[in-house]
Parts: sequence; C-alpha cells; structure tokens
Amino acid sequence: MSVIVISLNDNPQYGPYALCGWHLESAIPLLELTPWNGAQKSSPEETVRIELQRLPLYEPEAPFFTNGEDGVCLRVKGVAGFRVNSGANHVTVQPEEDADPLLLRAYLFGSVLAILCYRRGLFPLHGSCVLLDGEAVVFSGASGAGKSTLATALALRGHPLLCDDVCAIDLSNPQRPMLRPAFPRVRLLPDAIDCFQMGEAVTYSRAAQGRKGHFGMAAIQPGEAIQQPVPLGAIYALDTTVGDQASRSLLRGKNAFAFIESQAHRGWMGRKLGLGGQLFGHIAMLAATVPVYRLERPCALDRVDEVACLVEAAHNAVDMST
Amino acid sequence: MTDDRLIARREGWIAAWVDENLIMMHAESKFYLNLTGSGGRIWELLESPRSVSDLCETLGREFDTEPDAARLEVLPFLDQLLLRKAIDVHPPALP
Repeated sequence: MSVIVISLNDNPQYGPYALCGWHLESAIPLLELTPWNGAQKSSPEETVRIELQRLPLYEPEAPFFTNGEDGVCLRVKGVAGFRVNSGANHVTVQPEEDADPLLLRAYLFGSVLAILCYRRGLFPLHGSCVLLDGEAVVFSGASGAGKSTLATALALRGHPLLCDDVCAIDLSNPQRPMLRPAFPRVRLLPDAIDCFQMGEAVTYSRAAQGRKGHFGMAAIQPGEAIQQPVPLGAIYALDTTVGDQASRSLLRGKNAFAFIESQAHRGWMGRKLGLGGQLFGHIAMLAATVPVYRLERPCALDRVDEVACLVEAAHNAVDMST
Repeated sequence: MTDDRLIARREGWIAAWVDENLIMMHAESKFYLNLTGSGGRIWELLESPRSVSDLCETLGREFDTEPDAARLEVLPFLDQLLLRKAIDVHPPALP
C-alpha cells in the first residue's frame, strides 16, 4: 500500500484518507474519500503529498497540460492549477480565487489521479465500478453513455460502489488484474438524481442547473467502504446504442483492445509522459485476461433497473450443465 | 522479393498477444497493426533476421504444409509489413 499526503504548507492536515490503496493526508478536506482504515502499514517510499500553494504554478497563458522538469502541470481555467512531481509522490494545488471546491476535487480525482496512476504504473480506465459477487465490474464508455447511472442502480441494489470516473487497475500480476478502490461516491446529472430520489445524499456543484458544469456528487455506501484491491471480473462497454431489450455480447481480440484503448483515462497524457509502451502493454494484458462485454440496452432512465438486473444475474448466476 | 532476401524487424514496434491475435503498435506514431492467422507467429520468428526461404520452411514445418504453399501466403504478408514500415528487406548475407 502507498501513502499520499495532501498538505497546505503549514495549514492543518486532514485525513488520513484511503485512495486507490494509497494513504493520503491533505490540507484540503476531501469529503468523497473514506478514512484510512489502517488495515495495512504504509511505507515512506509510497507516500504522496498534496499541498496547496499560493505561488503561480504556470504562466498565465499556459496550456491545459505541460510536462516539465519539475513535474506535470495541469491548468484548469477558473478552477485551479495542479502539479504532480516526477516521483508522483507530491501534488501541489493552486486554487483560483473563488473556485468551486467540488469541481476542484472532481479534477483532483479525475485528471490528477490519472497522472498519479500512469506515473505509479497503474492503468486508469475511464468508468464507474461496483463490486459484484466478489469481483470488480467496470462500466466504461464515453461521457454521457450512462456509466455512473448504471453503477448507481447497482449500488442501490446493495453492491458496493468502488470508483467513479477513474478506475485504477493494478497489472503487476498480468494474469490477475486487480482494481484498487477509490471512493463510494458517484457523479450524476440532475435527471438521474431525481430518478433515484437521492435527495440529501447529494452535494451539488456551484454552476446553476441547466448550465455546463452542473452536477451532483452522491454518496452511496451500502456497507463499509472497501479499500483493499479487488480482482477485476469484467469490463462493460457502454455506448448509446439503444436496444429494446438488455443483452450483452463478448468483444474479442482487437475489438476488446480497441475499446479499452479508447477508454484509457486521458490516454494522450500517458503517452506525453513517455509511457506509451506501458500503456500499450496494460491495454493488451487487460484485453487478454478480462472479459469485455458490449452492453446493448434501453437507455431510458426508468429502465435502468432492468439493465442492472441483467448484469447482476449474469454475475451471480450459478453455472449448470446437463 | 526473392527467397534469399533477409527480413528484419524495424525498430520501434511493440507487440502483445490478445486472444489469437498479435496486436502491434509503433511507439512513436501510435500506428496499430492487428496480425491474425499465422501473422503473429511470423512476427515472432522475425525476432532475429531470417531469409524468406528459412521463414517459409519453418512455417511449413510448424503448420504442416509445403514450403511453396507457405510462400504463397508469406510473401503478400511480408509485402504488407514492408508497406507499413514494420520490416526491412536486406540483400542476402555474404557467404
């Protein structure tokens, strides 16, 4: 297990939290994360510090992504600058004035987490993930494909939510890919929140409803949060193809490879970090060892439970033969 | 392409098996190839440079077919690899 420390210079520390198996302390309260349960000791070389700082991390006209000697900088206009050092054990955050803290954390647990994964030899798959019958099942696909909604439907049926947006996969044993849980919260749009009648379990971003950037972060935790790595059981490829009935079909070979390649979380960043070979190897290992299913389904929100039932049945069914 | 030509992999390609296919990527250009059938085995055999005839004989043995029959499939495949800059074709080695 690793340790991440987020600190605001001399400001008080929050945490420790658990994130993808790392031990994390922070100057910013990270409300989505679960407290470190201390099940495993952390070692100093696996420590990551995340600090807040007032000094500019970048030039005013800097692009979104720069990779320099002192690390990788992300500049998100109106939100913050983020810097991940080359050892991926130190993240510096420079919030812009009046930045929305929820939006800032969404970038921290999105793009910044993806950089930490690439630099620490993990594969960040874009998707949402639940625990089904002892295995991690990831719903992956483009934005708007319904990943978080389907994961929420399953979580509300009692299957623990493991991560949302970035699913960190550990391929150090190529025959047995493991998912490292992040946190049991999910990012949803208002129509899905209404559909699930989630009410008080949701924190909303500051952007007004109907405007770009409006979303809710919903807490769903049917039991104790899972912090230990979990074997990765399946990846579901979600697209917007509408079928009247929910059904799944296995993708093989290059089709499985191509889908996973398309859903590497900001895969271009991994390549710009000079980790194209690592990325390629991880995608090939995943395509060769984890079943990738294309999920055809009705996309109407009021039928999401039907789709959740199909997935649940597929993973809980007992195999029988005559 | 004649039988005595030496076929060698070009630098910069990485490859991995996915099911029965060998997927290859050119690390710099991010260009992908998907080798099906015996294509993946041919790439494996080219780990060290080989002549066309050696390649056809080896494949003939492994797939239980005549070298001439193997040649009919191997030559167009090598042309494709050449076109996609995955291999180089060298003159025969001096005796």
